[in-house]
Amino acid sequence: MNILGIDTTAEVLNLAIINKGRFIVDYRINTAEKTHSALILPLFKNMLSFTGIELKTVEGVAVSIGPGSFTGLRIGLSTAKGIAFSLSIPIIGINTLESYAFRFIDLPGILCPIIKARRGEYYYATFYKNNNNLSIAKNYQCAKWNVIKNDLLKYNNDVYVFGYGLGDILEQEKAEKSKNIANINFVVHNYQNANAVNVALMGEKRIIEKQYDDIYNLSPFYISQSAAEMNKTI
Amino acid sequence: MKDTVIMGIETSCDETSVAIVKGGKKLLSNIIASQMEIHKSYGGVVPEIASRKHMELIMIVCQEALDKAGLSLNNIDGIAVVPGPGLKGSLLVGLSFGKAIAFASEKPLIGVNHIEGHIFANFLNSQDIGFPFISLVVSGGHTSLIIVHNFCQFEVIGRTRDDAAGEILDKIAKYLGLGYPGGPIIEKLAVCGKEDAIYFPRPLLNSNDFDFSFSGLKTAVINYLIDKNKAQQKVNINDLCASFQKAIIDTIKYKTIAAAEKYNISRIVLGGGVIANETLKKELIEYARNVNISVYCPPKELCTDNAAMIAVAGFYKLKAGITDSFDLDVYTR
Repeated sequence: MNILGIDTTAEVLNLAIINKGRFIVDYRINTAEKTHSALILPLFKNMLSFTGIELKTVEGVAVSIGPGSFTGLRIGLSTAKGIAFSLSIPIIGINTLESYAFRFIDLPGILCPIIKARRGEYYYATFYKNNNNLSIAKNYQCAKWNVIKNDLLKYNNDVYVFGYGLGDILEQEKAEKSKNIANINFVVHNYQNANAVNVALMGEKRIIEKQYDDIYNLSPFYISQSAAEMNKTI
Repeated sequence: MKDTVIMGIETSCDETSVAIVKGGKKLLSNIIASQMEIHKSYGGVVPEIASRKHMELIMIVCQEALDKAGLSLNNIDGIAVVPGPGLKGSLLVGLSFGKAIAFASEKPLIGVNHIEGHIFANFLNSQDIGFPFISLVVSGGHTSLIIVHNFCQFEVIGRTRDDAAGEILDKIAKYLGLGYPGGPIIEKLAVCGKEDAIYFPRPLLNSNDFDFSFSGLKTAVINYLIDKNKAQQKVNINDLCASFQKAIIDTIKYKTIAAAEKYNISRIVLGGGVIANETLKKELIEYARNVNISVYCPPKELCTDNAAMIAVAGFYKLKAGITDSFDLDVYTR
């Protein structure tokens, strides 16, 4: 079963097709020249033609629904809905932080994926491995690195931090010459800000379990309110 | 071609709309989910909230449009979408969704300029309008004069250099604490006021082009209110609204007719939310009649943003063989 994975949540535009737990194609573009909106469908078309996969053999769409860039989330989800609706196939929304954690599920400890947000803050959550699945330890939040760090220091286990914006955190740590990061490990890796293969793999699992999302109600996972709503609450 | 069915998708500001139109004339469905009530409490459209609302509604509105038309996606021959102008985040939802449908269901994609869409609202269910004509599009985002040579050739001869007419109506209403949207509220109060009570400027009336500029008028109204307040004099809000509205109407009216006369065109076609203003419509029609110019106007519900007008425009573009590729992107202006 061919599953399309879409990740438009950060600067890198990432599309992938997987089949029975194995990836067939993984396309990433990181350019400021063109927008995700202009690239996403031509890229998908190109992917199909290079792999020889026919559109009608795509049996599910898994889409990263955030947290991440508000506009990016909506481009990905609107596109995914249009494709799923036209082909009458299931749509699966995958939490972006969870998809990051899924990639490092075998690390021996607590997993803490991060995603750079606005105003020097990061979206984050913590997970642990539970029978080959991820269980959430600390629910989705948005905070400055120092707050996150204090949170992570409370764990007795090793904690692995990775994700989009890790470079900024490493710089901050270097500048502050922090000593007390005993149990915190930074997992430096390339291409950290796009994850369509894992999104598709998680989507395939959910499709096998028949845990589809409702195409009408599936919404982005923003975490943060819009600035106007925030000001109003205050 | 006369039975070609087009689905139009419109999300350029704060209305989520999907419509299905057959043969460019017959409206099969036109679902409009307005977010006005939400934005009212902020005194205007909040872009991020509008984008979120579009995302929530787009699929539901699309299904409703198909259901009401009694059709499935298989019966649709083309998808008309709006790349701009409008709010970027809002546009992106409808554009991305529409492009994906066109791609995955292998149907032609037709990009329709939002302002052109307002003009095409006139062709729905109506008699044929001969070319060329001058089109006046006035809304919260636009004040434009366009010569329409045929279904595909548009020549913009004037546009606002700053605020749109609908925009200053909103801003003044907000300043006066009257609510949102401003146009209908000011129109209602103006009925009981004297339009010659206060003189406000008619901006750019004597310029040699057909551009508009309304921000100076907005400042004049606000300055008037500040002066009155300083002098502790009461302001008759009805008179203020009538005089302010009159200044806008005069400017639009004279410029539009002058354009028609200069280009020797005897038809004027109206569109956009502010055209729903009865006083503006009436004055324009009367003034045009004196110089033998006919004025066409869509029904009130098709003046404000809707996807039916996008589907109609899409029909004529497709008929002319104009389609877009899937890298079609948004533009805000």
